[in-house]
Amino acid sequence: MSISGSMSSALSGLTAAARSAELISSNIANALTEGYGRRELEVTARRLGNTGQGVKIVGVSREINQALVADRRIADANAASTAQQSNFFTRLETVLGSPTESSSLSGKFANFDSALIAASAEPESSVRQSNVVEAARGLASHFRTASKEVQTMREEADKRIATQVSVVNRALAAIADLNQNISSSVGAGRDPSALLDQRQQLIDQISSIIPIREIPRENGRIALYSAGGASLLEGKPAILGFSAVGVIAPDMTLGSGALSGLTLNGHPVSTGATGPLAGGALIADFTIRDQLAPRAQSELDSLARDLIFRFQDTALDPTLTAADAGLFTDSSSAFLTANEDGIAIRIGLNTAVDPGAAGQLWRIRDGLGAVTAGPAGQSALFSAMQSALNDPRPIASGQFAGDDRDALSLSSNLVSVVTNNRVQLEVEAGFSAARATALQSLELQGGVDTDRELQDLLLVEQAYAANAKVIQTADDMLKILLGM
Amino acid sequence: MAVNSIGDMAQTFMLRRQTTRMKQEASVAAQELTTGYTANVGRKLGGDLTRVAGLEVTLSRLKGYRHVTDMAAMTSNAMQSVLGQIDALTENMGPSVLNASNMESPRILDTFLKEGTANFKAVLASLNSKVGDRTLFAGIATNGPAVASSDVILAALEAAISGAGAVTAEDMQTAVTAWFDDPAGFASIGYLGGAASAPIAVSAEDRADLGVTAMDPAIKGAVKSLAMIALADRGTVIPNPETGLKFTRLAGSALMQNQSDRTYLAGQIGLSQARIEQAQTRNEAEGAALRLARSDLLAVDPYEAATRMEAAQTQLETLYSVTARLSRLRLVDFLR
Repeated sequence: MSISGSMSSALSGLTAAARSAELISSNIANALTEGYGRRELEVTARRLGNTGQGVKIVGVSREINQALVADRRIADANAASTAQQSNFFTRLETVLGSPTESSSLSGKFANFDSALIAASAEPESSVRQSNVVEAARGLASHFRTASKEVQTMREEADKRIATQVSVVNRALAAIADLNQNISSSVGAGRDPSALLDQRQQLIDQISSIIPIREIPRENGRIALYSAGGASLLEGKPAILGFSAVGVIAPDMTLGSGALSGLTLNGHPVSTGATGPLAGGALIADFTIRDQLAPRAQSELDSLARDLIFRFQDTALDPTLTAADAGLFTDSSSAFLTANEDGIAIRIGLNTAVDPGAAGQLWRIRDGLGAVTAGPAGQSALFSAMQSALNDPRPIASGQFAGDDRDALSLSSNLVSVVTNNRVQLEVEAGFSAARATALQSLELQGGVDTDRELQDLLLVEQAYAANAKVIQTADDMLKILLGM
Repeated sequence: MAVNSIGDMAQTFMLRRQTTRMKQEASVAAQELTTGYTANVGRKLGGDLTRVAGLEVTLSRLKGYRHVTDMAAMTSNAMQSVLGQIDALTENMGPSVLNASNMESPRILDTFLKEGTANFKAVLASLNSKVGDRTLFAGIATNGPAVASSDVILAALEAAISGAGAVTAEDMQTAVTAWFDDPAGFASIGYLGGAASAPIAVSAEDRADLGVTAMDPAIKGAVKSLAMIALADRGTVIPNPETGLKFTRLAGSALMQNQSDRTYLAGQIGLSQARIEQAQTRNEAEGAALRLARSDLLAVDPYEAATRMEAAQTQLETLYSVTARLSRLRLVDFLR
């Protein structure tokens, strides 16, 4: 023990205190930075020979609960996936409309029905005829609007996939770079905390897109695997391949090759719900584009087909020939069973009854093929159309295929199925969002607490003052020696 | 990790999340309170909308049937009043003509014949009467008159009588009757309307038959008898006064016999009127019941919604004051 030894010890204390203060200031500055891991100075007693000689800075530790982060990432992916699908059904339900409103699809069916009833009592009234024609037009246009919305949702999903793929590719490349930097930092004994923060932020970016598992490798490097087991980063980053399409028509599918699938390092990879990349927002968008939306479209098609066939019937309207279109048309021509795909987007009103397109209103009363107006009080066609609408008939396609249903109950059943899906997914999305929130809340609890940092700062201040006092005292002692 | 500190962001995150949730709850409660209906129909009905959709469809259909019953009630009432008019015009005609033709005073008879001609025209005019745009007795051809003018009918009858070479009163009556029954006679020259209109659906099950036209035997009979009186008045086909007198007497007795047919027809229309009224009442009752059922399915208890809103409001206020307190609880504020 010597006075210079004391001085040296005190000096090391001063250094440690200064370094601590630096970290505390960094912590406080980053109190609101997401993905920032709180830093703490790791110190140990310095030993010279067998005696203690001051304090030694071992390094900087970055406090992060890896297990919690890993859980939170999986929960994030799950929440993003269910939210995306629940959002799809909510939008589908909105565009179909709630049956309690007359502006909904089933409301338009009911409106058409009651217009036919009213017209059958006053067949000569052009107001009643016009009501029927307008109700039919509203019905056809609702089909088109709903189908367009379904296709728009597919297009949006396609665009989102492209965006997500490029986010993932960029993040993976950046993470691979950071891996290099971190490993050389660690090798050179420098503090890699800032790089670790950055890397964590990058992984968080992709964790809601693809559920990620992080596996530590030597020298602070990590490897990334999807929860389904696909290697995304092992030394070299994987590259996802996808090309967006732009405008999607109902007949464009993944199977037909008109829509792009996903490749991983050039090899095609499954985009199904059990594929290696499943569980996050990316595959949820594939599910919407390739399964949910096409299914919704085919249900609309089946409903439109049923409606068209109820009116494209020579027994209903004897002025039609077998090759003529009925009240509802397939792009203004007759509908053929073979063209069912996408009929809901092409369904239109026969121009023969459309006064705006050189048609005549009275044809709705006298038959679409009528050349001259018939007796003004003839109500037979209106009554026949009303019963055609309410006649339980076997449904040819869609989920109700084989059932005997009338058009109105078919439409309300379709809306009901969508609502049921929405309600279920909403509950599921609520659960997964709650779980993700809870985990995020836990993770944030481990973040920077300014009160604690300030308490630490008080200690540092005291330690600094004490060490300085030690130096001053040792100096005084040396002065006494020198003054003798 | 031992919890000896709680990150700043955790607190902010918690407060923000709570605020959002409370605000959502308050706005849902406010919406339900003002509309009286649930804000999330799908969830309230457990995802099964078929029942409520069925109710809505039936309600909308009943709205359609209301137009129908209103119209049918109006039409049948108008038909009744036209039949009443025809009755009033023919009621005293038969006995008067019979009496007058027996009195052998040509002047009195002449007065009655003149009145008969006027009544014939009046009956034809009432058969052409319209409700709104619809001619009542023209069947499905509601946009035109039901019967031709008296001159056209009488001219055709005169042609038929002289065509048949009828000179006795009985032969003339036979010729007139034949013309009225001939499809090329009254049916094509006198009657200008179309086939009888189909029964009208006044509710999902009920049909009201308002297909009475001027071709109905009861109406046609009255027209025929009055036409005979008008023919006697015109006198162009009457060979001598005795035949005219006899012909008039035949017309008068036919008119009296015809009376009961018209009463029967009025009864038939009365039945339809009753059926329409019943359908109206039943439809109204069904609508009321369905609206009640719909509100059972969708309505929320306003007290419950108000309580929820009150609770959300209190919680939000508490949350705001807690936020204010917590944000003042910073060590840095106390370190001087």
